[in-house]
Amino acid sequence: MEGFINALGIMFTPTSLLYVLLGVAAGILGGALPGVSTVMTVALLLPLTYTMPPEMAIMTLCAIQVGATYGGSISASLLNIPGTPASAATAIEGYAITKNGEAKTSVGLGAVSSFVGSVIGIILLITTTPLMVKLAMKFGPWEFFWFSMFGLVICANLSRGSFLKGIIGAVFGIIIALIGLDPIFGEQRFTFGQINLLDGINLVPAMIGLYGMSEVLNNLRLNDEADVAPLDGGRLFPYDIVLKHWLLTIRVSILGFLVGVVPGVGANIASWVGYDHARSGSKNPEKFGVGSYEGLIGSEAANNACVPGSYAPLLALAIPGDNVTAMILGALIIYGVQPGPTFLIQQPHWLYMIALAMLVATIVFVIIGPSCARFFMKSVTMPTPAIMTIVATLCVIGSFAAGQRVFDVYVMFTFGLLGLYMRKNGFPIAPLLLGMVLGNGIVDTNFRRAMLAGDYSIVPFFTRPISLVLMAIVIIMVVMQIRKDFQEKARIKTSTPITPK
Amino acid sequence: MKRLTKDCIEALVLIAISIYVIIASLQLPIHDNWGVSPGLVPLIFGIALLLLSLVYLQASLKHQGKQPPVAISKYFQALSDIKSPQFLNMFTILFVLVYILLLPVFGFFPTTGVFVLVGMWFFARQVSKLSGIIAAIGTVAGIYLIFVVLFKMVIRF
Repeated sequence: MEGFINALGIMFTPTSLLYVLLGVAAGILGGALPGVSTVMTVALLLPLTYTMPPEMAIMTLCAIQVGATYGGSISASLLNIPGTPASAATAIEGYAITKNGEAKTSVGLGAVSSFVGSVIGIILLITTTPLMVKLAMKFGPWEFFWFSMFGLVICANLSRGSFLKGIIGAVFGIIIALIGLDPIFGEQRFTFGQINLLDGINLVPAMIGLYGMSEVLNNLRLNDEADVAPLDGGRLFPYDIVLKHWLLTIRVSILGFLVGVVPGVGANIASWVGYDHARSGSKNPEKFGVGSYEGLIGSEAANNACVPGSYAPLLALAIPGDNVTAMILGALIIYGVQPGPTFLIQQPHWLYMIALAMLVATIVFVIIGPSCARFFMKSVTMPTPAIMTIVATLCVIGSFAAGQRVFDVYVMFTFGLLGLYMRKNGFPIAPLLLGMVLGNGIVDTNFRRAMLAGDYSIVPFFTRPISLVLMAIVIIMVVMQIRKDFQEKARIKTSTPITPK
Repeated sequence: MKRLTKDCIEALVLIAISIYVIIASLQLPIHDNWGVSPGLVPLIFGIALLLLSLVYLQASLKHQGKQPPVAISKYFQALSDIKSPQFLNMFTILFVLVYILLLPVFGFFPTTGVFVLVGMWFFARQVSKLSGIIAAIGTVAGIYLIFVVLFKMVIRF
């Protein structure tokens, strides 16, 4: 109760409310811009929060994330271009509803479904996180080590591209995270004698490079312009449609939340899970693909419920639920806040504060989102190269602001090139980023703590019950998925013979 | 006959990186005990990367499918054609790289203004010259207002 009252005191000040409002607006704009994803929006705006107190900074970032997750549905519905990957499923039904002459209903239904999904996700976050904390108190460093491996394997499994490439990326990310001074003995690891590498690779420029600069390098030369459907027909706040499908909305919201809880997954997967669930349970499956309200509700409620879900493992276990919370974890560490099981026991107001920030952000977007959709659409119909040119400058200033070093800008560009290569060659970026976030603080630290606690023996890694279960899941998944990759490649090879040039 | 495809080259590069990581990890001092030495975790993941890269190499040799062999001469030939995708890709990368390298020379705001202007004029052909100038001034002014005035950040490259 004390934590809740503290959170109320922090949240409901004019400054906090203003930052949340601005965060939501910036998030909606970023999410609506094609080519600028939720994670990129958060990465670009993260440096703006450096001068804020940690609580206010995290609340603003949560608001940006909530706004951007919703914002992607606006361009998905009106342009048939998902503003974020999480809105890809929304584009199928949302744009079809728009073409049926109900553009306002399409935008409004996205907002109302997102609102309900978000609220249900927030309620589940407040009720389930304390239970996760109780479970996490049973975790020792061995379990944290295996749980982070589990998160990396799940992330590699569910990312686009082959699993083998995903897991290679994850391991490579962990190795990158180990660059710099060893936190226990101060030995230099992989620094090549460079002073700039003693602190390791700064996470923020690397993230901006992987997601932001790689997108710029990929899209800067594209000379296309989006075609906007007029915002006519239908109603801006179709609550009755959501009420009619209330059971579906609750079910997909719970599903979306559960997807968010699984480390390394995210709103992208949640929206497809929600969409598929809506389609499989629908009495009118023939309407899917040609303007189904159920499909739109399924994807939007699920992807917005996923956002609070991704904070549950972050706050309870310090393992991020998705890419954005991976960035939030990086931000928390920069601000000197270390999440984990004891964190919420000592500072319970963080859980309620994040929940309240999301709730306020949700209320704000459902009011301003549909009403201002016309304004947002005017902003996002600039030609892609124009958008990308401006995004490039934001990438530079964002990565410079992280550490006030030109070196960080070079790191950002290098990771931009790496991200571009990975995009073009089927290597998913998410596992690499998750590996970098977990590598030093979680994997390395917990492994060595476990060795110290177990008297330098590795046996407890394989004999403690929870460790054994997690280890078995990790090994089985890796072996099965690599085998599946091989079988898929063999199938492609036998069905498509080589045609020499 | 096995061909040197792109996947093979990727696998070989990853193998080289993993071998470096393993060797560098073994050269780190042990301190109290191997169990807490700074080289142990990098060694474990270096070995993991090596094993995964070997699996990747084996997969790329076994299932070469439609992948053509790497033809570096053809790539450089394509680069000489200014309308080819390879040339445009390289130009985009060099354009952004030059912008970043010139930041410490001319300062952030002048370099950014010129970058946005040239970027708009060259890449966004639909945008008029006047719109490009307004966008460049607006971007620089917006960054100055938000980062320097509002958030009191010092931007000195």
